[in-house]
Amino acid sequence: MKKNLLLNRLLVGACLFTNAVFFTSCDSDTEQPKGTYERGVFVVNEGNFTKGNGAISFLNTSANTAEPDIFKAVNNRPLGDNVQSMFIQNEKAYVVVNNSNKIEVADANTFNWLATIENLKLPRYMTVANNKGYVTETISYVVANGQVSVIDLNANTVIKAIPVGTQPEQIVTFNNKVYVTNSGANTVSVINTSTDAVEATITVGDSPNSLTVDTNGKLWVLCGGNTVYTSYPAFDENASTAGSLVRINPNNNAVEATFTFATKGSLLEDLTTNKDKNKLLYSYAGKVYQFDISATSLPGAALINRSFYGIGVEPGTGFIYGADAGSFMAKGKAIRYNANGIAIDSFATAVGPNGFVFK
Amino acid sequence: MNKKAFPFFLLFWSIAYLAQSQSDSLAAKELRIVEIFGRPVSRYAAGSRVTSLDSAFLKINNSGQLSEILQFRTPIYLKNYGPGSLATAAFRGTSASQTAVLWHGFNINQPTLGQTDFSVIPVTAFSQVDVQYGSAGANYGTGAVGGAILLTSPATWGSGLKLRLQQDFGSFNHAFTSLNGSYSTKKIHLKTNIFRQSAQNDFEFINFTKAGQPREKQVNAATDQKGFTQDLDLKLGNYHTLSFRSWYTNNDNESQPNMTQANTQARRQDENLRLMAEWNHISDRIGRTAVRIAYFNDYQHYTDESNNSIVNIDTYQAQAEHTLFIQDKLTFKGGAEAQHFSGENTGYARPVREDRAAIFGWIRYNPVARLNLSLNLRQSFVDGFNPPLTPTAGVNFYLLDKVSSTLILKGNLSRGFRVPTLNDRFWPPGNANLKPESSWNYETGLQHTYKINQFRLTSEATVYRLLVDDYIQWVPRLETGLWSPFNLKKVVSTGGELSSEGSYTSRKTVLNAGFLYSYTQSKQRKTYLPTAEPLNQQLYYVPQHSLRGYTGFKYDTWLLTANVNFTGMRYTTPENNQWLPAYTLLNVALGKSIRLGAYQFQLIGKVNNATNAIYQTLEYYAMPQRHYALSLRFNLN
Repeated sequence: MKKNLLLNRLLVGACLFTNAVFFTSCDSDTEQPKGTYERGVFVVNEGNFTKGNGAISFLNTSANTAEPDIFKAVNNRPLGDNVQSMFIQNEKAYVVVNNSNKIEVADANTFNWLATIENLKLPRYMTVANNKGYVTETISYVVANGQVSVIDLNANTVIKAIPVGTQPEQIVTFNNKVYVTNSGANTVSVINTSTDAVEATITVGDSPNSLTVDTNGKLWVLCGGNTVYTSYPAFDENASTAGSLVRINPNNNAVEATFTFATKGSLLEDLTTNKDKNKLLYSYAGKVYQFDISATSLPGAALINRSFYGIGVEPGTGFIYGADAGSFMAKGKAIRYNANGIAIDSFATAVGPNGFVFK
Repeated sequence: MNKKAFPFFLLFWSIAYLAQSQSDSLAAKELRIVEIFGRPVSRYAAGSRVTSLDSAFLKINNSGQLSEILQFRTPIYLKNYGPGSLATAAFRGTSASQTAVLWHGFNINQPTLGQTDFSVIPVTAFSQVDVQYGSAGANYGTGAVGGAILLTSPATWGSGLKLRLQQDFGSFNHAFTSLNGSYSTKKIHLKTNIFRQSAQNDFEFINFTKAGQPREKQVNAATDQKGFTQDLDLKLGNYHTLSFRSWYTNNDNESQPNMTQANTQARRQDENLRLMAEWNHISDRIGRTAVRIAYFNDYQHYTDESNNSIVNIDTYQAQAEHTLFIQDKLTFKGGAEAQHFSGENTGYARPVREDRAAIFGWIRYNPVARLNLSLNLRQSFVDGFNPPLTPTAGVNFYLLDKVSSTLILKGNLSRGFRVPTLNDRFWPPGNANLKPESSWNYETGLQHTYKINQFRLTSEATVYRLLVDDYIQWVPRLETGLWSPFNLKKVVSTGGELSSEGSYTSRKTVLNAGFLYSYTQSKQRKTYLPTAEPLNQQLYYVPQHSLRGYTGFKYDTWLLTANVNFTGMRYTTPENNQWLPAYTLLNVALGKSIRLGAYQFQLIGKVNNATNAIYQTLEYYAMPQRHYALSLRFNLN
């Protein structure tokens, strides 16, 4: 009898023990990582034109590591020529490879290749709206207008091409509409995603190159201005136009405010928002500036006194990342600043880093 | 055909006709040809390494371009953007604009880029190729930093009438047609060559940059080349020689996209017209005088889906030199040259002109029979730049000087320079503070020749150190994003070349074999602007190890040749973390000739890349695997 009780207790103990083990392992199943690249910062690297060395780098900011070319490491082949941008939606990373006329689709966590979207003509940037993909395409630098292709994200094929303005560049989704900056002209095209057609064209300043939406639901467009060179570096002051920052009300497509920059002929690009979307950041004449959306004039002092090829703000921490492409002959750097513009550290990237995607 | 070319073509034939009728009346007089330069090497500085490509090799491979020839018989690394596309040379670890290419003494590098596209220099246009290794600014002026390639078609006298017809067929729709006629007496040499070459180049390759590694057919790589060369050399009296030479090539080549790139229908149409005249006067008393003038027109039209640009540059050149022989041991040479460039480029803000001039001199002194000393000096003048004084000092010392064998110890110190090209100067935004590149080359070596009966063995070993300073590279300006040239860095190349060739000749048989091994270490030692390029890493696309091997067997009417090119691993990034693997190329040719009196028919079959190697000289630019060619030749005399 005693022996049986002991055996019984042992068996019960064993069962409880194994149950405990099973239950705890069930819990750890839900915490298992979905892939190496689940959380961190992706850097988009253009590479050198015609060298086929565009790449996506991955910065693990907590472990302080940087991987220069994750697509090649995982899939054993290069991404292609001139990687312009990347867009992540539904755990999928869409990498827009400009000079290879394609978008490579990879799992956003493991970066395993899933599909290739072809039949594009010099694609630039992508967004998703109404369960469809929208990609801006230059087509060529001598035609009058570019286009936005509509993509079926299940079949990964182009289903329609919408003609827009000249050299359409950045693209953003807001309230189920798609806004496109036509950088070769001075307009923003508004696309209705139910009809997949342009429903309005808003006139802004010359060469609108980047756009973003703030916390008040206003659309901001940064226009680089048009510099007419006579014999470089001299340019024609009268024929050239200055850059400007334009605020648009998306409800009525009206331009509410325009802030014009003081000098002409300087590089002005890369508009992005801070963590709370109540300040805008942009690169101007080799420095980074921060602009409060309620301000009535452009900032005089720079936030960061350094020239970058691209900037980004991390949504969780508010940290500012600057992409230093250097001379494009060797790998670049990503420099991390806190929200006040104080440098923290830097990471190595691949050649020609131009932007960041945060996860 | 270029409108300017045709009248010159007619002019030569008319002069030849007149000269021939004259020469008949002078045929009675005998002409004594004074051989000034006994050993071929004495044309060049003492102590330098100069090799001459085998003429039999040039004849067998005359349907291709200079890029194909150089990659089998020199250690030069040819960067090919595809078989019919741009090919640039990297000699001793230097860049594409640091190798000078000369035609009969005139530099033919494109003045806009300062480099030569070796894929549009047809082998059939010249009969001799000499390769000078190392800096030779004193001899050849700008661009001879890593070395110089000298193309000539020396006149042959008294060989009568010769006619050569050739038709080649090959893989990927390759076709080559050539008509070559020459007539020479003791007083006249007239030679004409008309040729046409075309290929579709739709070879198959594996595109390993796409998912599934599909097998694809190359698109947009077709080539079409036609042209002519015309040489007329006249001996007037006992002392004067007058030469007129023309060379016209019209190339219409598609530019091959690489495996990652979209096809943008890129295409280059080049027209190059080169005309020159030379007057030589040789006399025992006053020495030798040479005056040369040349006119070149280089036209290039580049189109693709987003671009349409035209470059049209005229170059006028003149050279005058006089060589004086004092006793048997001392030779002086002095001379001057001038160049004028004018033209347009779609990228430039306005038409441009530039003038250059140089004065040069050389002394060659043999204090004792076994010692050759030479000193060359050149001072160039360029609009707005101060190129350095470029000396070359060299010595040849005969450790052994017997009939059957010679062993020479050589040493050479030379300077080179490269003035900024027209693009460096005139393409906006430019850089007003740009300086010319300059180089110092130190080398030493041994050359051995052994001859006994029908057997001959020559070997040469050289070690060198080449320092290139103020290396020009284009980088983007931070404030505007536009690219301009800067004197970016200092590069040091060290290495050596070891070569040997043996041949055996008998009545019916000629057997030869040789190899050339070169080792190059080329590193960036210093940068003058902050860049991310790391120092002390091997420059990318400079292979450390290169080996060339060749053998030829000629028996009676049969010939069999094989050429091997082994190129070691090349890095593709400045950090040396990615590379292209080593590759070996083997070309084999088998030929048979049939002689019927004065007529000879020859059939040569070739297998190129016989080992079916998959390789690239530039990452992602596909190259063809095994391919074939058949050459049918008819010779009269």
